[in-house]
Amino acid sequence: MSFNLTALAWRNIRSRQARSWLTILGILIGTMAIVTLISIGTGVENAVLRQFKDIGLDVILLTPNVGVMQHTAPAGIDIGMADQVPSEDLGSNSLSPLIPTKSDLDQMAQTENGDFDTTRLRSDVPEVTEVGQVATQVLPVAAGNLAGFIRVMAPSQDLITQFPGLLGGFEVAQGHGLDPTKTNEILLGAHTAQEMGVSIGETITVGGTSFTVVGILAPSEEFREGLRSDLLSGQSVEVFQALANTDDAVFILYRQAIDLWPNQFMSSIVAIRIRSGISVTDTIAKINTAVARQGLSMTPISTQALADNVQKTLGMVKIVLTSIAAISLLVGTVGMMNTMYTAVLERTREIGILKSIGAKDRQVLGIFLIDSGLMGLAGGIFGLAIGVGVSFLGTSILGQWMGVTTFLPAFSPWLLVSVVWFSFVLGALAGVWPAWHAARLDPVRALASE
Amino acid sequence: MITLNKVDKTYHRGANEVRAIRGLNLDIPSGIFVVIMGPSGSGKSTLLHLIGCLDTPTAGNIELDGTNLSHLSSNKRAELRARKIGFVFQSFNQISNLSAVENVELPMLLANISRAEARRRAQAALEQVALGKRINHRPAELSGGELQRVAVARALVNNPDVVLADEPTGNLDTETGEQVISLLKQLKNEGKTPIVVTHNPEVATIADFLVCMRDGKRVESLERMKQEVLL
Repeated sequence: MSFNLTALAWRNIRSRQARSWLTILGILIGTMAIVTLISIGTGVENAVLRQFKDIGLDVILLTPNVGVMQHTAPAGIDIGMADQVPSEDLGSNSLSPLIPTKSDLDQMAQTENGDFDTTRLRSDVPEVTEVGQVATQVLPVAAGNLAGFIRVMAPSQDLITQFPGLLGGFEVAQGHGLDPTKTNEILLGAHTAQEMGVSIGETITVGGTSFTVVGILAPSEEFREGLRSDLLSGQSVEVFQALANTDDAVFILYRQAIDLWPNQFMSSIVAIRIRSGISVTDTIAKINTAVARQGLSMTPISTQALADNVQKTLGMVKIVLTSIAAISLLVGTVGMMNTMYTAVLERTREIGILKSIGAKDRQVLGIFLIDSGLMGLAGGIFGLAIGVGVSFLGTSILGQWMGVTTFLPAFSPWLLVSVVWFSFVLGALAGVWPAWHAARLDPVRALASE
Repeated sequence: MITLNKVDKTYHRGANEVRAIRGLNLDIPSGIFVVIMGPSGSGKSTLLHLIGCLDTPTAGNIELDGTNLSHLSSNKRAELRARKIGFVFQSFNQISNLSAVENVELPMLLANISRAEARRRAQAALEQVALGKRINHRPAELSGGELQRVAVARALVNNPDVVLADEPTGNLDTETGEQVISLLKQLKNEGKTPIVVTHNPEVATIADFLVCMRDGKRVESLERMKQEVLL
């Protein structure tokens, strides 16, 4: 029975191709928008979560509460601008916002070298198994005839070995890594090395001290792509973004930085791994106490919590965008309802003919419901296919704009199935009222209509 | 056997009441060629709709082979139309975007007959009315006579007991009209009951059973009806 009705409905669609396609188009656009926005949104979410997983979800991060620790502005090398930026008076407020103020330094001065003491943390909080830190400062640099300012990042040896994810993977492409037994060794970020035009074994001067270039890092672009989304916000994420960009910085070991420039380097981030099975909340409370004991103002957050927050934010954005897309689907559905109702009015006589040759009310209802359902299904299938294409195109354009190459949309089987099913149901629903109207027509009056 | 007992049919058009059929009593035996005549507005088409289960009487009873049609649900009436009744209309009433064979298939598809079987029977029915070579033509590509033969084929595919034709020759030339009437009359030889509404007095002369209508009532004879019309 329903097979025959489907055949009849299909004949109707086929015989009114132009109108059917225009009706399908409304659903198609809505479905396409939903597929595109959800898949791109999920793609962004996956990329971000992948980054957090690379860092490790069992990690607690300490970020400073003072503005000096934020490094969202790209430092890079600013060759030829040296005379415009004061380099001596680090206590002056006229300096770049990346350079700490005197009050910041006073606040930090309560601990040895004014920075976070990881040894004290280990003794205060025994649950801590691994701890690493990275400090950052902008210092004058000179390489050959070039002079300017550069972002100097000083990771501890523990951070490099235990938490490389925080530093964009910290993969040495040329030469070798920093040797803790040696002094005056420096690693260059990929872009910095290119800009400076120096190679392994050459000497550069940073903050008045000569360093030998021992290695050049691989580009960190792909590693940090997940964090580059403009959708992300919050201090922790901003610190992440800056740290994960190793391309425009130089690297010396933390211990040497503190020795060379006491009170000038402060940790941008302290990464802590705790024993498994220990309550993260309780440990965070202990860490808070330990931080306060050191006279510092830092906020602990677990990477899991950070990832949850990011996921929550992205989820909200995705819901908003999908809701907007859903409105276009709703408009398409109303359009389909209008088309179906017009079709009923136009086909009144035809309905009369069907009834005169034995069509029951529910058969007429079925023909119109299947008719609109099939159009909804077609809109869903075509919308899905085009949406997949647009998603790849969108991520490609978005990726180029954001400077990342491996950012891909994500299509869950749930999305694919539900979007097609939903389109079919929506199409059928759009036909309910017109179909009911058609089924209720009086055959004699319907036959008499023009 | 079709029996009408004190059948009334009243329509309401706005504030006006139109009594299309008034207390009509009628017994139509099976297997005969029936002709219904009468001037416009006499109630003949309404009578056809009532017999064909397209409409229900306001009062009285209609029986078709012992089944009372007066109080049947919409679905039951549709079932009866599908099984026992075939319709042929003056304006052919083909679905314009379907081919001849697809139009003829329709009653069978609605009666839950498989598509293959429906196609086979539809082709056979069209061949029976000499349209075997025109099965894939759409209504716009067929002449009036061909369209009416498609309508006859469609009316017959479900092998109904009663075939109701509402002025089937009204839009046809004389020769084609005669062919269609001849086709309908032959149906009685198959045990069916063709009932034809017409204005054509010549058709009345070949009827086995003539029903003359005037103001919703049956009048005794064609002559009497003519007299009443003239009066």
